[in-house]
Amino acid sequence: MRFLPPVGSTPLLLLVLLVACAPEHRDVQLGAPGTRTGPTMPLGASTKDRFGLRQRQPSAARSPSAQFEYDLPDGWSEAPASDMRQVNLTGPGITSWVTQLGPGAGGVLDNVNRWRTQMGLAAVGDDDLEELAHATLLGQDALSLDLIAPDRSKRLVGRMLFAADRSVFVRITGTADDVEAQLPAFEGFVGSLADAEAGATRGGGLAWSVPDEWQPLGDDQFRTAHYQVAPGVRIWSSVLGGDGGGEINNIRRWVGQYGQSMLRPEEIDALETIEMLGTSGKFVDLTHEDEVTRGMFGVMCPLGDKTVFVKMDGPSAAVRAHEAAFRQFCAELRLD
Amino acid sequence: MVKAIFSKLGGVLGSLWLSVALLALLTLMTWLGTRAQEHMGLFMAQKKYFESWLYVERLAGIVPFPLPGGMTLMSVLFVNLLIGGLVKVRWKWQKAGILITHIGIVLLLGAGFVKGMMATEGYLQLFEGERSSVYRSHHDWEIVLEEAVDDGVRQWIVPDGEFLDRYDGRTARVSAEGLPFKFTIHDFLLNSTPMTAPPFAASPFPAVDGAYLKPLELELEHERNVAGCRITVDHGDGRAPTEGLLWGFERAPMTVDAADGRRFGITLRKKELPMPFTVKLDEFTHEYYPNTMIPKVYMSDVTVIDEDGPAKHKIRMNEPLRQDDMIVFQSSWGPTNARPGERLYSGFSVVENPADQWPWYSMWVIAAGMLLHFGLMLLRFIDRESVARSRGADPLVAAARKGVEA
Repeated sequence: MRFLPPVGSTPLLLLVLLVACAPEHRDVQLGAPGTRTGPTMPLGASTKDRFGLRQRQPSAARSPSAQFEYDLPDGWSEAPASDMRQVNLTGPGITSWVTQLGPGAGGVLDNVNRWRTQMGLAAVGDDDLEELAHATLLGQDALSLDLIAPDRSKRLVGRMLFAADRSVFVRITGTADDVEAQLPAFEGFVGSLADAEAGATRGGGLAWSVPDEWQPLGDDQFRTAHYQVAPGVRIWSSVLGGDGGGEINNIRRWVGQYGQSMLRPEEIDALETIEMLGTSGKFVDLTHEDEVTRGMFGVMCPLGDKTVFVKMDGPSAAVRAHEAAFRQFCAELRLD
Repeated sequence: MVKAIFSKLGGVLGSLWLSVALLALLTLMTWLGTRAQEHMGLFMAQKKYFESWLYVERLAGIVPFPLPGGMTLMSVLFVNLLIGGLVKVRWKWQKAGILITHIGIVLLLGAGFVKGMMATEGYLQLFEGERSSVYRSHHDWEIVLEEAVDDGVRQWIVPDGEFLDRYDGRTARVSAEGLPFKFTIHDFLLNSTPMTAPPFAASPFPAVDGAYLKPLELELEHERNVAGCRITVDHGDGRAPTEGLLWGFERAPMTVDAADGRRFGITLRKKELPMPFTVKLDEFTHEYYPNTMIPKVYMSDVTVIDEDGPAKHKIRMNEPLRQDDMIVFQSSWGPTNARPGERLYSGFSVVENPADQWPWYSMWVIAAGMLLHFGLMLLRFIDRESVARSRGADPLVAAARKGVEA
């Protein structure tokens, strides 16, 4: 570990000048202790708790999809969702899931042959695609496949939707007999499948709704749901893994960016919390008392395996004028 | 011979030329120090230029050039004034005004010296209903060990002078009377932040319990720096040493279970400074100008409790509490986004300055000296005028005539 005084920072400085004289090792002998009254120190906390670093949780605890709505067939159960299984279900002897990807998603032929290969079937050519059956998925025309392994050990029934804005795959797999037994339930599930809250926008694992007057500014590596709220006022969210650097560190960074006085731990503890994403997050108001100095609202919401941040930035008065909209945006933000 | 040397030295130290040179150097230092604040911050600039004996400037950014710092200049100016303005001046009643004025300036310089050497500054934050008889330094740190005992809390304090230079492999081994273990301070960082250590890779800095302290560049506003260090506790009973991290913003102390069953907390915090009285915040009031967020009034109603009993005070912006060499200013409040009825806290800047009132006294001394001096000059002028008139010649008229003829 190295000490890093910037060049010219003299006081340390004087200490640095004394480095040549400073012994490698020093013995410090303290005298008898003093005494005080009042509360005792809270003992027993772990290092991470002492520093406000949250424990990294396994991601398996992710809640079922908020992206789709469906009727869960009798006897089936919901398993934790994942990036590639936005709906993940299990039933007697079978598994069934829904995957939503971007438009194209590898092409129709490659996806069909991927499923066929998984069933031990030979690949087909472009000409064969025309012979595939069609069915409805999410209210749109989709390819329908029913693939049985040559030895009848397994069967895959599914649908593929290739729309202009996305590709959706729904399938059930299991032994041929189990799939056969659960086919009516699967058809019922597919028929009930619908987009949750049509009209919401999605990205970066989040879904949100914004007023019509907010102008999208385009997401990037660090910003999701990036909008111009009003002239000079922007809002965006970010999702970072783990604790995202920790509550105190992020607040310190924000305070430095916006030229405010450093908040002490007790002041951070006293910050208002707001409800969002099924939990609560610290609400930080770093607007200035004058109108034009740049200020911000910020919320950080730790979710165990990741932390969601929402920030609104702009001239202080303009940011304050949109406080209600900021709070509503946070309240309506969902995991996708 | 010796007398001649002292006479010569006194002549130089009390000379007007030295006064001019000192004022020129003070002007240069002020200009350089003000410019430096932009890139090194107020605290560092004060330390380097105004509170140092010597500082080094780099000519053209390269060649080091030593210059006398504020302490040197003010000390020499003090001596210069003392010799030139008090010792060398002929002590006669006609010069009484000048002498008194110089005494006032010397007192003013003395006030600055005493403040520079002895004053402490810090902050105090109280929620309504809370009280405190201590405040915290803005800049100084201390490591505190505490043990709960039947009649209170036993406390050992390591001042930061013992560990500020403990980096780059340097260590300080601390032992204390009544402490059943010794501990070693390593890797002190003046500005740091805790990070979660990567689970499957080597940590870039020594990690303890899955966390490490990452060094940060110093902040321009020095009070924003948050120090940290690593410590190793040697129990002395054959057990492996206990490692821990201390960080200035930690929410709870490191816990040490000693070999004899006693339990200790160790924490790194801003230095705690005592006040000669207790301040209790009764109520905090703030008002904005209508339809703006511009503050109109910040005010704290406090009760100051000392050996004479409780006394009510109001602390407002620009109206601090002054008592027992302590000055308590209203400086901040929060939470700034508090809802109606929410409990508020008030932030105070606290300064302990034994010479707090000296500038006030020196101002009166200087004013009295100048009044006396100019009064005497006026009297002399009136006297000369009356003498001239009694001789039939008006000196002013004579001077005017002389100018016209020229």
